[in-house]
Amino acid sequence: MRSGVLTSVHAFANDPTRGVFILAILCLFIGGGFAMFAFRAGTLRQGGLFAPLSREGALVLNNVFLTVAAGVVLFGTLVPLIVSAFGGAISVGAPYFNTVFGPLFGVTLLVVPLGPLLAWKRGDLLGALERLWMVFVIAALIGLAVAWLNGATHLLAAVGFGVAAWVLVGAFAELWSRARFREVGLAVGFQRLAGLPRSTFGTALAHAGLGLTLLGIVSTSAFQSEAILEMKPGDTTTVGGYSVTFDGIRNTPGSNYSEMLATMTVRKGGTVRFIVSPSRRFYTARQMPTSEAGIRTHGLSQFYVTLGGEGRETGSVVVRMWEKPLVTLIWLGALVMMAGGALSLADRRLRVGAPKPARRAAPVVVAD
Amino acid sequence: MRLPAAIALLLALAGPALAVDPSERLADPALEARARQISEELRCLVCQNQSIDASDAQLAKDLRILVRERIAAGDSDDAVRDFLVERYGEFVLLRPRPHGVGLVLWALPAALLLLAAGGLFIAVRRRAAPSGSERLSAEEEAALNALAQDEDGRPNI
Repeated sequence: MRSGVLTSVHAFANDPTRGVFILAILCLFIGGGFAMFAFRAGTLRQGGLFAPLSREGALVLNNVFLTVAAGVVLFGTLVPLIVSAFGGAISVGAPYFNTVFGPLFGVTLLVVPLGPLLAWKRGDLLGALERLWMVFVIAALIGLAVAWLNGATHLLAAVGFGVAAWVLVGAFAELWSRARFREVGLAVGFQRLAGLPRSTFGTALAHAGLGLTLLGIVSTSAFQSEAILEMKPGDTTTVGGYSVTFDGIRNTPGSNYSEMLATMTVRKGGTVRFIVSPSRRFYTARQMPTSEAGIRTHGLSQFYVTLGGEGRETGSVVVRMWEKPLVTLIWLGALVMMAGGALSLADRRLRVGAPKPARRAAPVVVAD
Repeated sequence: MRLPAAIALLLALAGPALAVDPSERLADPALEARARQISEELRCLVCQNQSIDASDAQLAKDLRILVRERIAAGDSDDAVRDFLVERYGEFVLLRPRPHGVGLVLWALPAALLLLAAGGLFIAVRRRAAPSGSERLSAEEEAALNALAQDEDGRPNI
C-alpha cells in the first residue's frame, strides 16, 4: 500500500487492509469532487463582479488562508524528500507545523464571525464590526477572566479562550441581528427567526461547531495535567485537582491472554467521582504485551490512566495519568459542524422542484 | 524500507510502557520541564515519526537520558541540541533550524501569503478597471434606495 518514500506517521498505516480502505476514501472524495467539477465544467462561468469587501471577498480570503496552509503541508512533506535526494537529511515535524499553523489559523479564525455579516456583492465592514462589538466584549471578558484566574503564565491560553469565544458567540451574531429582538420584541423576533432560511441556521451551527472544537483544543493543550510516577497499592497522588488512590491489582486470565487489571478510585474534594481500571495484557501465543488504557469521560472532560512496567521498588507499577479538560468538545464540535452542513443542504432552495428565480437575459452567476 | 518499518511497528506495539519512565526523570521540575520540551522536538531514529519523548525504543530512552545528563551538566537548550545534531545530523531536529533549507521552510508561509496577496491585488484591479458603464444614474440610485428601505426608513437588507 505504501511506497515507503515518506516515513509513515502512524504504525497502522503499514497494515494493507486499512491502507486500501483509506485509499478508497481518498478516491471517493478527491475523485468524486473532481468528477463533479468536470461534469459541470461547461456550466461554470466567470463570477459576477463583487467588491473586495463582500461575502465573496471573505470566502476568497478564507480560501487563500486554507490554500496557504495546504501549501505549507505539501512543501513541509516534500522538502525532506528533495533534500535527501541531494544527499542531505532534515526533518520537518510537528513542532514546525504547529508553529506555522498557529498564526495562519489565528488570522482565519478572527475573520470567521465577520463572514456571514457581510452582504453578498458589496459588504459593509464597519456595519459588520458594529454588530460584533458585543461579541468582542464577551470574548475579551472571557480572555481576561482566564488570564486573571491563571496568572500571566498562561497568556497564550487566555488569548486562545478569547478567540474560541469570539468564534463561538460570534456564530450567532447573524441570527441575533436578523431577529432584531431589541427593536421588535421577543415574539416578533422569534417569528422573524422562524422565517429565516435553513442555510442561515446551518452557517451559525457550523461556525459554533468550529468554536467548540477550538475551545476543546485550547483547553486541552493549555490545561491538561499529567502525572508519571511509580505507585504501589494503597498510594494516593493528585492530578489536575483529582486525588487518585491505587486500590490494587488483580491478575485474571482472558480468552487468549493474561491480564493485570488495576483499580483506581478518583476523588475530588473527598467524594468519590469515578473508578478507572487500566490494564496490561499479555498475549501468550504472540508473546506480545499490550496496554489497555483506563478512560473515563466525566462531563466534557476525560481522565486517562495507563499502566507501564514494574517500578524500581518491588510491588510498584509505573503509572501515567492525564486529565484532559473539555477534550470531548473537539469531537462534539465536529458533530455540530456536520449538523450545520446537513441543515444547509436541507435549505429550501436546494430542493428538487424548488421554485427557481425567473430567468433573465444574461445568465446569473452561481456564486453562492 | 520494509524491515525498519516492521521493526518500528513491532517496537511501537511491543512496549506497553509509553515513553518517559519515572526513573529517567530529573528531580528539579524546572530542569525536567526543559528536558521534556527538548525531547518533544527530537526525532526518534528508530520509530521515525515519534519524538524521543513519545517513543518506546531503547535508543529513545538512551537519548532521553542523554538529554537529561547534558541539562544536569548545565548545558543550555541550544547546546544540548547542538550536541545531538553533531552526533546524529540535522535529521534529529523535528523543528528545522532557520538556515539553509530550513530558512526556506520558515519563510515559506509568508512567501505564499505574499504571492496570494499579489495575485488578489492584480485580480481586483483588473476587475475594477472597466467600470464606467456600471455606475448608476442619480434616478436609479434614488429608486434603489427607496426599495432598500422599510416604510419607517430603516435599511431593509
